[in-house]
Amino acid sequence: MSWQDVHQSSFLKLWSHFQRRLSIMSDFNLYQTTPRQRQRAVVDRLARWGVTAGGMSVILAIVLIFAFLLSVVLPIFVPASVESVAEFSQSQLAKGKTRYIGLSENGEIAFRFSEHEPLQFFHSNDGSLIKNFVLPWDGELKRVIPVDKEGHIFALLNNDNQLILVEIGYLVTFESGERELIPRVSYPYGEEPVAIDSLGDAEFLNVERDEEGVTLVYLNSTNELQFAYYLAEEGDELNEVEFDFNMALPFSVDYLLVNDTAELVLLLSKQGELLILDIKEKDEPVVLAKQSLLVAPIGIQQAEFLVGGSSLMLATSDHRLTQWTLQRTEQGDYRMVSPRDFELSGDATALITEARRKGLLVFNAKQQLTILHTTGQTELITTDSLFDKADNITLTSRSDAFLAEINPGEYRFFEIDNEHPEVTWHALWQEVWYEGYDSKEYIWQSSSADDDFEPKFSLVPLTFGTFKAAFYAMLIAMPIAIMGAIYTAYFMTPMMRNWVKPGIEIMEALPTVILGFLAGLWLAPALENHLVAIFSLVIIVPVSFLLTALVWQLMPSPIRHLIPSGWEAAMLMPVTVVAVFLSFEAGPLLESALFDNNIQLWLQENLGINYDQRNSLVVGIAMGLAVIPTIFSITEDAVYSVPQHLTEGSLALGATPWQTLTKVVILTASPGIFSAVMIGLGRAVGETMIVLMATGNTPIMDFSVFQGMRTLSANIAVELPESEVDSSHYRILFLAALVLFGATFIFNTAAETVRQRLRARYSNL
Amino acid sequence: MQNISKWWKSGSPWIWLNAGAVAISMVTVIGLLTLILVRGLGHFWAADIIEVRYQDSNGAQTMIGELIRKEQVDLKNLGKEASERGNGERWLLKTGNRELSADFRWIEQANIVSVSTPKELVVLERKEWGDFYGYLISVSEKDTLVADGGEAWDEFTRRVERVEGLGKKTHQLERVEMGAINYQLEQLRLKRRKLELDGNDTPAALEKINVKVQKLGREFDSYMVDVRALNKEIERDSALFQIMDGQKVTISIAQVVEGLRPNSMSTVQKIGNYISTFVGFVSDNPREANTEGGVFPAIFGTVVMVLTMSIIVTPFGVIAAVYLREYASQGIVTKIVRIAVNNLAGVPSIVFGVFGLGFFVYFLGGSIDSLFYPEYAPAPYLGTSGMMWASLTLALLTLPVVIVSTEEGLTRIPRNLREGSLALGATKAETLWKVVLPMASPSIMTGLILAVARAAGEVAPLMLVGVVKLAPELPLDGNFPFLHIERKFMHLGFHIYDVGFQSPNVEAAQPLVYATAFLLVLIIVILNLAAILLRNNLREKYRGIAG
Amino acid sequence: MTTVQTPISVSIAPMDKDNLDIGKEVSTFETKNFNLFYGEKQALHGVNIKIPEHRVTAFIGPSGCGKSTLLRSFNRMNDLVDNVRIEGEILLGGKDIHHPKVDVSNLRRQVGMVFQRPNPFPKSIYENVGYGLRLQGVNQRSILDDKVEWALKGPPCGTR
Repeated sequence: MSWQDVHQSSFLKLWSHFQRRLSIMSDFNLYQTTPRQRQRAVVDRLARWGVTAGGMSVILAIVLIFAFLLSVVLPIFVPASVESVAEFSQSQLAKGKTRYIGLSENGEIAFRFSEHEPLQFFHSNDGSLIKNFVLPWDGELKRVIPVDKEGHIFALLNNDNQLILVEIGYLVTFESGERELIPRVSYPYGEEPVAIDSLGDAEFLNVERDEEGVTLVYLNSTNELQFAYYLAEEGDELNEVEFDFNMALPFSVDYLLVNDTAELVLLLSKQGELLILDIKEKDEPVVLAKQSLLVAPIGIQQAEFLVGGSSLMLATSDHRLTQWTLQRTEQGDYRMVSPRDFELSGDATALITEARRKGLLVFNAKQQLTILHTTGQTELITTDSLFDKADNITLTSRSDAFLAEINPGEYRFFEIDNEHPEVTWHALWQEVWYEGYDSKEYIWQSSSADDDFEPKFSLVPLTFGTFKAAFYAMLIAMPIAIMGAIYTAYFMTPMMRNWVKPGIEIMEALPTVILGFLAGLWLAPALENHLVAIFSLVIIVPVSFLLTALVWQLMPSPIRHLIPSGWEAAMLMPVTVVAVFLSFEAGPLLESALFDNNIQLWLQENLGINYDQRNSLVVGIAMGLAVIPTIFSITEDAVYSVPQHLTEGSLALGATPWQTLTKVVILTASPGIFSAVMIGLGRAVGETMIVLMATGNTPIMDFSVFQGMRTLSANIAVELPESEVDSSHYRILFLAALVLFGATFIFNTAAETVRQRLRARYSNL
Repeated sequence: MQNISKWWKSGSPWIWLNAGAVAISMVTVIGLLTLILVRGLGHFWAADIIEVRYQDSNGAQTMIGELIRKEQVDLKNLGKEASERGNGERWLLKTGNRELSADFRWIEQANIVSVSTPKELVVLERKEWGDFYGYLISVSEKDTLVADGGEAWDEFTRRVERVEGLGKKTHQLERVEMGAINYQLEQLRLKRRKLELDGNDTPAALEKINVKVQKLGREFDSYMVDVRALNKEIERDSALFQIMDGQKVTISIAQVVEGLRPNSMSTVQKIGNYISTFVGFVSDNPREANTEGGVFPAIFGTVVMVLTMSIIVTPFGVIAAVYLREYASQGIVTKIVRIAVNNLAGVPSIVFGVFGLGFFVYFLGGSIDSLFYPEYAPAPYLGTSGMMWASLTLALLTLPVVIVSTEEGLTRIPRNLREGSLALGATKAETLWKVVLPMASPSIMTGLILAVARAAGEVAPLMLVGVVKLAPELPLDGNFPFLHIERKFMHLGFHIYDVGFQSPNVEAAQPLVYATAFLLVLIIVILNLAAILLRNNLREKYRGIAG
Repeated sequence: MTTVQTPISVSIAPMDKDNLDIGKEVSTFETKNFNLFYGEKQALHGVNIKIPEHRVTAFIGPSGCGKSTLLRSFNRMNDLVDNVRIEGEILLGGKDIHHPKVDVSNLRRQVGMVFQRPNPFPKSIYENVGYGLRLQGVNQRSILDDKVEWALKGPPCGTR
């Protein structure tokens, strides 16, 4: 009788003893009666609820991760919308024709310059008047020319061709308990207007300013192009610098455009004749290009610079909107080329470019609004007809609202929800022709110094980099891991297996930051110095293994029986060390014999391959090491669990162990090996630290093994901490995370499904 | 010959090749660990300093420094004529004295006239500008010479020890006492702001705070006086050295962390020095943008973060596993959940970081801040990355490890044990608590150890949710509430990345990075070995019971 | 699907050999038209049985005929199996054990069970023997010591 039986019977004895005592009453009590029973039942129920709640919360957490990532990403794919929020008329309207209407940055306050009377500020939601400002002159206001793109500074011109610059600002106060904006008007160059004598009817006048001064570009009364340049820092009086330039024009000008930095002047006729001048040297302007953009009878309806001033947007009579940008030809001169055009739904009556993005609003004759973004290359929305007509339309600098003047004093205010126009499927995944580039390209360049920069959000180079890194890692990991696992599972003695498996597990546990650090600081320089040696390893190591095998085979059998089979791997470990040593000895000799003593130079001169110190080979080796244990363990498991009767059957038929392995074992275990590779791939795709440290992190698309890459994961690690919350950039980085999540999800699910099938099959065999 | 062809056909060479793959893997593992071990531990050894007489196109020079490594290079790269093709040897010499000249230089072996190791050569570890090499000439107190010649060295070491003692006192005053006052002042500022925000800023309440502030201010000032006096004492002494180009340099003893004459030290002394340097490495604060000094805050940060994570992940992981295995009815739902958990284990760690930053830091932290801590505005309290969010993120990351391991343990418990307990009238909860969980505890431990090992080595998500290169304060200190979940912290893994890749002088920082890497690997290998042993033990035990 | 119904024979060891009259005995358990299904598969078919008090009753039958299932039904151990469905009722001392108000652990406390295989808990023998007592809140060391010692020392049960 074992102790278990003793205990069992003693236990029964104790139990029956109590049973007898209980059943004296012969009455079974099945319900909760004593407080203790009730308490136990309550505890039990609480535990059930607690565990269920806890379990559910964990499951919810998993769902939450996916849902949250998605919730951050989704807004970039929400289409734009336009909503009418207010319709009002201004009762205390200043007299005279409207010369200009504008909006504050947040759209709360609108203002209007009128022909005769003062500058008026009013609320954009109900038209209630806030303040009137009287301009420091008596004449009639002829024109208002916006000077900066944000809509703060305007050049005002009166009937006497006098010009003054006015700045509109807002003061935020909390005096009344709530946040309130108070408009302010100031004159950055003094209240004294300057007279521009040669200015005729002043139809074509453009004013730009920089830190040093103010530049006026205009057509004078004799229709010649002329400049006026005023040297003045802010706060000074305008001080004209005389220089002698005027230029007769070869065609009748319909549009005169000057870029923000007052360096480029564009003269354009309705027929598409174009003249571009470089006016960096004010007294010696250079004609950069003279070109005809259109074929008759197509004519221009609207023309405007895109923000940044390097793209011209033309709406033409064939209902197209074309982007033109200046490109340097191979001969060294300049030419306008068109990277893209859009289809419009009618004649363009107004074209408004956004102040901070490469987007624009086009109104057509039916007063439908089309919102476009050039980089996104997509029409974001075309609304229904918004109103019957509009004299003036103004957009906030945030581009989230616009005000339309239907008639003087009669307004409609609209809000635009268009947070991420630059992010479209096209911009993320297809080639885009960016400003200043010669052709369509995949580019990731997210950092932006200012709003003029065109963000380049192509995920293709990053995805390419991710898979390139994974590819080289798998190239190195797969043969070693799979072959090693097969040997470990099938040929190795159990005693050695007990050592190898923990060794591999330790390898798996090595933090990737350590692998990455060794790769970047130790392996990369070592590779650079011993490139030939490393490549010769590929040949020398296997050959030395085979030679060892051959020598062992030729040994007299008493020696061979000293070490039983299954210990080959242990015997080969010193061989590996010797082979590596030999390779490193032979490397310099080979290098001087074959590659002129400097393989990097040789590669560059003979094959045109550039060598980058932190390249894909480094990543491949380091990440290969990180992936080997993953593939190894799962493959080993799959091969080891092949039912023994299968292999025994094969061996019994006279097959050698190797034949049995290739014909039976690997075939049976192949789904397991497949899932091992998938999980390894998943790990390689998501690995961050190794690629971050072992490559230069340049987002290039070059498959060369001697070049680096930037992966999705490294990109997130580098850029997310600096990214502004809820910006397009932020959301795209979340999208990158979601892509990684999705990719690994697919790999892992595929692997898991295959493995479960395999398990079912094993149990049937 | 026929034998060989038969041997070839039998496939035996292929077996050898496969064995070779194992050999390569094992050699790599051992090689990597050895590399880290040798380089990491070599950092603490007081290497001999050499004096090199050198002759090149710039004339004859003397160089003093530590030989870092020798390298074979193409002569062409050394600027030789094309006719002199072939390889030459060059040495990397650490000549220190960064404030005076380049601290690392390559010299060509061919140009070396002689190499010697004079016993009097001194190496100083300094608070700034890295190591210093030279000959000690004399020691002065204020401006009076106190020792020179043969006595200088003993006098010098005595005075270094004195400064060290004073330094400890100032550190205690500055970091502990004055740090506590600063902390209280900040708390009072927040209290006042809260009163203002809530409209409770009655004159009486404000006065009470003001009194406290003034009292603390006075205390602070009195400490300040002490510190100034101490600092004056510290700066009293200086020493005069002669460096390799013959120049004489005065070094304030306040700048010296440790002075050694390695060439005259015996092996025993070197071992003693080795141990004390190692202890200093794990217990000191970093200096000079982390490239010198110790890694104590990084170790401490890692440990506190991992512990906080364990406290979060263990109950949730175990409860989830218990739910899946003991309470949920086994069906399609549990199957999906298991696949999801397995999938979660394969999700790249950076994705967790992204989630942690977006959800925990910006969403949760931001909301909590605006609801409960408006007084901190505009600076965020919990709405910025920190300890708490890092621990939560890593808890999420390691959750699958604990769940899978616990579930495996629960599966191994024979069904009849549960039935035995239930049949005795135990409730399910009692069975779970008294029979099932104790039996599964080794598996839970295994899971937890693996989770801790993974968390300790994970860097990518931490870069997004709370790790910094230099944290001014530890996440756990003597100020109430002791564990400061909102603070940012340092981490060994990130330290490696930061010092190895972001520091301006990578060559100088390398030994420290290897030493840090060695520490991290040591921790993780020990944890994993523990998990492996525990698991093997467990399997043996169950082999008896389940049979 | 046709299921082959195998009868279980019931053998009752009488207390008093001469006076065995099942009808007169006070029955502890009584099943009424008891059916039990494992999912689609029916394991017990209309069992009607009375188990008399203070007697040893044995179920005899071929393997898989439902002896254990019936036995496990008496203390509702079958509740632990997923997809179990029952029809009919089982009465213990005249009370339905499946009544919603029944406290299962209380039922099991009173309906003891010895399994085919011994399954000690991975605790000390002392803790194993005293487990049931501890569940009932008996934590006093002296009582536990006495009872455990008594249970382990005396002659095994059934040989009294």
